[in-house]
Amino acid sequence: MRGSLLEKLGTLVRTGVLGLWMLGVVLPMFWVLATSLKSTKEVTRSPFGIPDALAHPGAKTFAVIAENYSKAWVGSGFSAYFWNSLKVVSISLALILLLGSMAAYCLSRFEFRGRNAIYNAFVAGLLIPMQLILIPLFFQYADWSDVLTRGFAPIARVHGIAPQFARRHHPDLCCGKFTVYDFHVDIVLWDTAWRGSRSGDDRWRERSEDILQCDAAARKARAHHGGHFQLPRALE
Amino acid sequence: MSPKHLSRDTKRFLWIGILPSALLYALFVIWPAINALMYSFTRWDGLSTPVWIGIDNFVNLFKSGSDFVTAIGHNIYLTVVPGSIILTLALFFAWMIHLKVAGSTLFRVTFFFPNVIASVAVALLWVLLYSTTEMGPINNIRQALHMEKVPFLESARLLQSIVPMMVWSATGFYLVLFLAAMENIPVDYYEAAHLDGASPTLQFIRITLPLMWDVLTTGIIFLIVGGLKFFDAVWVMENGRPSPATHTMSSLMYAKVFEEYNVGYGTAIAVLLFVLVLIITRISMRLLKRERLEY
Repeated sequence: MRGSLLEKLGTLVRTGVLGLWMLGVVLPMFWVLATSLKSTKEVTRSPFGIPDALAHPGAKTFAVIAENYSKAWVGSGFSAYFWNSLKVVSISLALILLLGSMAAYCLSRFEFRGRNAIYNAFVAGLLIPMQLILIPLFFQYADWSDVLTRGFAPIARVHGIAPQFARRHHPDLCCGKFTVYDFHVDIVLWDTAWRGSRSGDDRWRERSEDILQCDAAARKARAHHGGHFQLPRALE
Repeated sequence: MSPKHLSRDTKRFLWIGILPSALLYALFVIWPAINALMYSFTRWDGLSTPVWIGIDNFVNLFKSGSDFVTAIGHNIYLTVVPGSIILTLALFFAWMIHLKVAGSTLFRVTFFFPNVIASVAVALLWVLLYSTTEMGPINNIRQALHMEKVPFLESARLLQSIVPMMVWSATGFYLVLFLAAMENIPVDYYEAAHLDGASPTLQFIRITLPLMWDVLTTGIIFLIVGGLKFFDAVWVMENGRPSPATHTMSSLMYAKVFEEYNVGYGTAIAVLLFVLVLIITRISMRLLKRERLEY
């Protein structure tokens, strides 16, 4: 009898401890969720209160939620980024599944000379950290992008992880350094042309001209300054 | 199917099967890795012709007081401190859930949840939590308790502030890992031990730990590798401009290459990081190795 009482007490304590940790994990996330339902004014007025939208649901409070989420979805370009992620994930997933299973089938079902060597080479690749290949890969993409953007533009666009990476995160790199800069112009140019031609808007020709002129000026300046030249910020 | 019996068709099949992956792999993993090694022996700004300077980059990395040496210290801190807390908590919670509680699925799911969020988003969430404005919850609680506001995100405090974040976000993953290992252990052992009068603590030390040792080792190695490669939170919390006081090896490498255009120096860091990870994982695997127990 005493044993079962102790056991019950033990279970109670255990649940309590686990519950505390659960609160610690969940509360910050709920807080973010609640904040996303508040207007800026409400956030400063009561950062931790229950959102008005939940306390007094109605058309007015609903508008706040709609505004926040539409701002995030459209205004900050979230939908575009989401689409980007979707493209990268779906294409790489399909390729990985297809090519990976092909190679795995061959390596596991047949015996041939060099089988173990190939298998070991693949496994060894797991040890190579992303950090090690990140930098060379970046310059590799930069070197290839000329070919890629001209020859296989659509592929380059979808696979342009490095170009996107360059454009989003390293505007100063793109402008300061020409190896990278050259391909940056290509991407921008192609992007403008692509968007323009699709929307039926003819202004893309003008913009491309501008970019090309800037590009030519930059190339001239590069020859002149021995590579140390900053592109006008206007191009960003 | 010995090598002799392969028909021409089979051979062609093998080529078609293996070549695409091998090619992609060589192009996007092997070739850049070789390039990285080459860059690390040069002085290069990413634009002009690289200049071969031998091991100068590596010598400079280890000059006393260099940013890299400080960064190694930060990585060790971010491996040992959060690592040991995470390991202890994960084992503790896994054991508690394993001892049967109501709602164990709920606990499992919620504890794991931070792993679903992108690490950058986790870092941003903690930037908000640590905020010194009237919105920051942690400083608000401190004020309610009549304590001073603390600028958790200033450079001098940042590494300490990252510890709770790492514990918060990583514990769930290791908990799920350890719990799965615990639940694989047959109940018979516990029943036998119970009949012999072993206490739950003794059962944990003599049965549970040895039988999940492999998984525990894996967990420890994950933590070590993760700590050595740590990047995101430092980068996010310092707004992309970490100072020498907060740099980790990865962020220093990134800054050297993409902000100072010092590609040779940066890749030298990357090569060393690779070697360090390799050596340390090897050593820890050797140290943690035990006689394999099976059930």
